[in-house]
Amino acid sequence: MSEEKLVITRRDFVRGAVEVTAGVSLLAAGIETTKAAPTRNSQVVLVRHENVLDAKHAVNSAALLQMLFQLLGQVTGEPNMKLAWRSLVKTDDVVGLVHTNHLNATHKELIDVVRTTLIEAGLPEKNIRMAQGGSDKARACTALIALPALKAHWLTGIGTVLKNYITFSDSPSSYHDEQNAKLGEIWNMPHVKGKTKLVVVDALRPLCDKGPQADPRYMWDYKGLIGGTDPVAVETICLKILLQKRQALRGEPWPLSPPPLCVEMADTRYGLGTSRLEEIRLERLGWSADSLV
Amino acid sequence: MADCRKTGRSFYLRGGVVRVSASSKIQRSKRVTISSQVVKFLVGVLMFYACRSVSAAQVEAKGHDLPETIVNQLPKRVGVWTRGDVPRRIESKGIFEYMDGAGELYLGYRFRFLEVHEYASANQENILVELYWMESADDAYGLLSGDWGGDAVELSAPAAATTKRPATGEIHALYGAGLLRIWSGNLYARIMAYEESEESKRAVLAIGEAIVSGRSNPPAPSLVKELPAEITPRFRLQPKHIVFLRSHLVLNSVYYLSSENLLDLGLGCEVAATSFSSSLPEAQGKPVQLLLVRYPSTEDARQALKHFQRIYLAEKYHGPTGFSGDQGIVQIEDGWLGFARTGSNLALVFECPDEESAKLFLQSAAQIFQKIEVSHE
Repeated sequence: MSEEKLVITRRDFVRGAVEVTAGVSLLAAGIETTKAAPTRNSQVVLVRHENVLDAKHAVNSAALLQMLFQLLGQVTGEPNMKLAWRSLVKTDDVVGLVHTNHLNATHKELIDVVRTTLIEAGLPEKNIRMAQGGSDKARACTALIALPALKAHWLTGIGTVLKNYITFSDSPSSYHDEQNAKLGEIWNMPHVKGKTKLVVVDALRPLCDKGPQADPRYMWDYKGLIGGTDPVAVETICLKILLQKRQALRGEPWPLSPPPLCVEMADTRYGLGTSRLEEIRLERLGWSADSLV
Repeated sequence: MADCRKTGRSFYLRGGVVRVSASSKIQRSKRVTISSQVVKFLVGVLMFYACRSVSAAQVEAKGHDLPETIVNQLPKRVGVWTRGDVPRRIESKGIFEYMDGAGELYLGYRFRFLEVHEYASANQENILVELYWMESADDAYGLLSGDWGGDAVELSAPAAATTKRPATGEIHALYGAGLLRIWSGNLYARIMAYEESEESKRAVLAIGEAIVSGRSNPPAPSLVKELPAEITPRFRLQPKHIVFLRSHLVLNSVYYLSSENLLDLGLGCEVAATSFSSSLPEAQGKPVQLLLVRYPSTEDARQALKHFQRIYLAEKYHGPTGFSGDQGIVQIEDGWLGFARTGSNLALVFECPDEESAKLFLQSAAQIFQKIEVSHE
């Protein structure tokens, strides 16, 4: 963790150019950032299936498998699951599945279908690991598949893609509170950098308010998977969905507080991808009702 | 025994024995069969801690006349659900393990310990009961005030005699989508059915009734009680936006001020944060945010205001006019901001449409502080 301390105030946001998703630009806050490339084009895939959850929110694994197939096909351009996985990971890779295990945890069925299809694609079962945990877990892997669940978080605004690697820092509390803007830093740590081959967000039943414990009033059956290879672009779409859902619940804008500083910083400071909607190509597949984005 | 040491059960017993009455209740309610060696061990541990902690227990008893566990009040069976015999007990140190990195909310108030019960059923999802025992009723109120959403529920506890109703009315319990949240004295409770149904709702409410049974309801925090319903007819209090807090993390989750703790908030502070709707036309009609802070000392308040001025009003603080007094009103990007410190009290008002309204809010804040000082609360 770097020693530099960021101090950002409400006034910095008000002064900045307002962005659609993250809510504000940090550029005007006087924070040194890298200049974003002018013409990026990141693809994010949103797949939804009306019957993937039943009335009691139980997962229909067959529908989920179909959704994953659609997502992988769109992300990779490959005609089947085997080729799709093989275009992302090598058969001798040690693949870590990085799920979320608290506050609206990743559905086990999603982890299972990813694992099963990886094995069917030719990866040895012993080389597929559950990698959520300390830095040693990431270090032991040559490839990572991020499998976070879509949710807001009361300390970081959003607690989905970028925050999912917080334990890889071995110092999670260093990235909470006022330091959450630096979550992107973890993705550039030597034992993590470049290993993430795919992000698949479990948006089957997201949580749109902050916790710290799940409140069922703020959970809904969205029945989606959101995926891509650009973690910031995927997070940006996730953020958009959360904000739209919050606005729908309240009937007026209901911004996340604290603001999700980590998203734009992951773009402008850590160069992990794009947080600009105009640079994101969203591909929608499947059920389209109330997609919010 | 090895299993016991690893589980919340052992944690509970080791932590709970400090409080003799609590542990004796646990013993009475236990129905599981345990070996004589385990009994001997537990009795030894109980005696050791009971001897060692008599003075601590006595001190606690003076400050808290309410029982520290209400396990015997909780029904063993409710509907098709049956409560486990031994609750988990989570102290401050263990809260991050229990919530996996999200315990800051509870530690942002004066948290004592958490007691967790689970009701299980053969054919229904479980019901989780979390009892957060706090240092004071204000702390428990603060936790409920984080979200006034849901349906207000009238449980059976009598309201305390109070001359002034808090702005949030007499809300002590809120229910929504399977989750019941309760403020009852120094207890904040969450009772959640993992799957909501008519049956689970009845069970959740019955458990809530049992929890508050026999417990009195102290009044809302004094800062909250004294909030006026309006600051002139132009600005009306938004009761659902009233939050009592002590921590800047909680403040930021309500009204984001800064990544840094600019107001030096902490467990010794009392803060009421709220907003007032404005009847002005749209461009000027956004809500005004009011923040009232009581610090432990005058010096704390003085230092906090300086800290705030140095960062939040940096260009004015460091500017040629040396803007650093105890009172001031200034126009910034999102409207007029006012601040006023008197002794250990600090009032801040944000996003006022004009200088005059900022003055009115500061005057009203001064009256609130004065009333509290006069009442010696």
